Amino acid sequence: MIWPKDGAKLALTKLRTRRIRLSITLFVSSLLFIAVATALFMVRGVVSSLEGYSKVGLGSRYIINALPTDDQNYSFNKTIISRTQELDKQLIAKKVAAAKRIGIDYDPSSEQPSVTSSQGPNGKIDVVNIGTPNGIKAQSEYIASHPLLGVGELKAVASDYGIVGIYSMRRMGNLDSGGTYLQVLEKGKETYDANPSQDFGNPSDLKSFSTNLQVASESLLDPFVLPGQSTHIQKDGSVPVFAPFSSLEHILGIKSLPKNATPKQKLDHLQNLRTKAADYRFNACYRNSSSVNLLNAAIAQQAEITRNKGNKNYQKPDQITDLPKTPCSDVVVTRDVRSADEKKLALNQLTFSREFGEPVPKSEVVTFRIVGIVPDSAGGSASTVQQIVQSILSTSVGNGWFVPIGAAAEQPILGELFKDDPTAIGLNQYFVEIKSAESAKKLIDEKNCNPDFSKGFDPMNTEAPSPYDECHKQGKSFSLSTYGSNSLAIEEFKNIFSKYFKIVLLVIMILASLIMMGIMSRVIADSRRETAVFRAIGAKRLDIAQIYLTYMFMICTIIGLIATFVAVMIGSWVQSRYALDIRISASIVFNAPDNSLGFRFYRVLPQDLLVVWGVIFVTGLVAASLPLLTNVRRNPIRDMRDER
Amino acid sequence: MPSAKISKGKQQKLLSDLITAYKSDFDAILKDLNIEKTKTFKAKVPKNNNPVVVSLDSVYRNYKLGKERVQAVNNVSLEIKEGEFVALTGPSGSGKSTLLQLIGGLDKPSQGTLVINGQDISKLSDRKLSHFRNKTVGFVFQFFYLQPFLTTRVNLEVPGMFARTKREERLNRVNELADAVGLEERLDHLPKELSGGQMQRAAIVRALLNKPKLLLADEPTGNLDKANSEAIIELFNQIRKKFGTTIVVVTHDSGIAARADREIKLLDGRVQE
Repeated sequence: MIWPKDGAKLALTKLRTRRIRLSITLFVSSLLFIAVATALFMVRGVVSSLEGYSKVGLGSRYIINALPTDDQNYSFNKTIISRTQELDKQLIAKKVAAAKRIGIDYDPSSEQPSVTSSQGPNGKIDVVNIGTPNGIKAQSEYIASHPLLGVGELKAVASDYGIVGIYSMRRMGNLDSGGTYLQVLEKGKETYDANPSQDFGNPSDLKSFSTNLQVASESLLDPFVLPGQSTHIQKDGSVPVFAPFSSLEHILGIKSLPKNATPKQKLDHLQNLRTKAADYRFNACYRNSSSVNLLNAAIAQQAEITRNKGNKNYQKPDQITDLPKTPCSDVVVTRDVRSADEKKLALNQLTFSREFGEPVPKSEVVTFRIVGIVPDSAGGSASTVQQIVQSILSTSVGNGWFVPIGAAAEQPILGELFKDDPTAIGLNQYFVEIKSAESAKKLIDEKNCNPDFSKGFDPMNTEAPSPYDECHKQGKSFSLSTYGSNSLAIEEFKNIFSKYFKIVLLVIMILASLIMMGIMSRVIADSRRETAVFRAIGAKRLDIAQIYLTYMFMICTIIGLIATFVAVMIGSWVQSRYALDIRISASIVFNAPDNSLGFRFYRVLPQDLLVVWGVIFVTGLVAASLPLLTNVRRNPIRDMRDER
Repeated sequence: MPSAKISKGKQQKLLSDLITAYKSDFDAILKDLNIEKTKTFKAKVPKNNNPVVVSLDSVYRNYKLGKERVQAVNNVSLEIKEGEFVALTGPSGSGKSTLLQLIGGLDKPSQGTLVINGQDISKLSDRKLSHFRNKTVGFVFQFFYLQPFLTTRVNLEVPGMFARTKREERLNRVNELADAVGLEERLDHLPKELSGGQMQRAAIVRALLNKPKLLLADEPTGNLDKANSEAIIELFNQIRKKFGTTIVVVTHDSGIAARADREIKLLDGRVQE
């Protein structure tokens, strides 16, 4: 072996030959390794940032949403239909008798039947209206004898996978067939609207508060509790509630920031919202269906009177009810010129209605207290980098307002509205928390019900086998999916990245080694005479190999420097372009008061540098080996003679 | 390009210094190679009783050229003594260059014994043969073969690099020899900036860098004009006289052959002497 410095001196001369070819080699190989280095540095940065955030919210937990796969095709269930028809008959008979007893007119034909006929593919078919009292009753009776899948079944399915906890979430039930509502009293006022919007899924619309309110297990909500807040009902009766982030500005009466706000303004704004939200109290008005009906009648009457103002032919109603004088109170009768008979008839009518289920009007103010902020779930398609990262980071229990199950049960009205009714359909959601990502993924892989609808499914034909039957036979009673965060997806992403990165790395190594082999072979071929001369003046085969390996080392060093530099530049650019926005998004997503949680788009770790440079040098070594082995075996005399 | 001029007195002093350095280094080389020193080195014109440096006994070299078997060297036996200046002549294809390469350890005989400096080099491994070429032999080629991207100085250093000689030592040696052949002012130039004569002188310096016992030149003047050819032959004579180096030159030039101590004529791979 010659001195390394001498080897470098001789190898350096090779860099001055075949410059165009060498430049192309350097360019293409550098591009390939830039891709490798950029991918590695950026994935390292993003994943380590994600891991940092995973300690926030539900990010570090592996929760699976379990949707029961009960055959809930009750509208066409013949047992329920016949029972409903029977109940309808009984009801009409009872009403006829009651009307006679009370002394009012009752026309059975005015009764809306609970079972109607509908046109099916094979002729007329009976359909039960599950929303009618008798439909509900028949369905409940049926479910009582055919229980729905619930916590017990979920526990059985997941028992082998390391259950940490089983949780549930519930929407408001149909207490009666009327229009029960819970309306937020914005600025202390009740909004009177005969047709209030029930904007499901838009939690910032406070008029639709009731449709967006759910109760959830404390364990699902705990990560989102604001500092110093308690999730229990306090002495003043205020109910703890978790507000959706998107509703904060609205309910707190804080102005939105302009679109061109600076990042600092955005962060300050976030901090301000969090500070003001903690322990913020607001009232909501509960009205049962009778109260709502009276209110709606008053609203309609007032509207009619207003509309006919100035109309001399208009005759005011004998009984006029005005809107409540104070929010959430009863309507007020301002005029009643009915005759005694009319009053008696109305009273009899009311007695009749009450006998058949109409509740006594009830309205009451419920005070809520914000104790936590729930990030809004990422929805829709993510088109910008910010949206994509936000959707990756996303950790949420869902959209809407949440009250802890325990607190809701303690509050009389909420306790009634959200009571656990085992016969209620579609109100309950179940979740199972699993100890590890691996087990959670295994549970989904092995126990998820993925019904096959390809063979066709006729919901009207309750006799035909259901696509879910196969799932049930295999013990797959639930449709399982990740929930609350992308922790499983991130784990999966890391595994997939690791797997495919190795494949891509191998492909890039092969491509780069072929490209580098090209220049190496060319330079060696060009230098055959020189090699022969060197051999003649005493160079050993190893000395020749050393010169060419040093040459390849130089090429690899240049490629390594370019790849590292460009990868860091790309990472820095992305970092400077998006990091601050992502940090703000992350703050919103995680509701983290700790703004120091930054987001890094790239990270250069010594071990990754070692991987990149190691791969480059191994590639160079592979690329040099074949031409070099061929070269050192050549006869220098022949080469010298041939090159003349 | 005109060659750099150097006064005769200066040349003689430099050569005298080189001879002193050469003697001590040569002893060390022999020791390194574990070769028994048979005779005290004398930088004199060779006499008949000088030791034999090159000895070939019934040497053959055959190789295949396509489907034909070529007998490049055919039963050659000869001896060359220390300090001798021998010219190998003959028509093209007579086996001169092959014989020179065999003597220089660049090729191995198909048959026969080839002893250089008391060592049968046909039995040496590739590694030892490389060492032999580096330390015992110096090659001069017709086309000089200087590395175009290295300065003349670095070109001349190269055999020292393969010998792992310290850089300082190498540079001193390069400077001494360059002074001796009148190249001291051309050392920092690239080969393309030298004349043909200068390039050949540089090639000779490169061949002498490791103080070889045997200088082998393959058509050293084949690419030079008459004046430069004369100068190179004169340089060979000076080297032979001052260093006692044995010189074997392959040539077509009858003028060179006439100035050699001995001419060995080859025809069809056989010695015609």
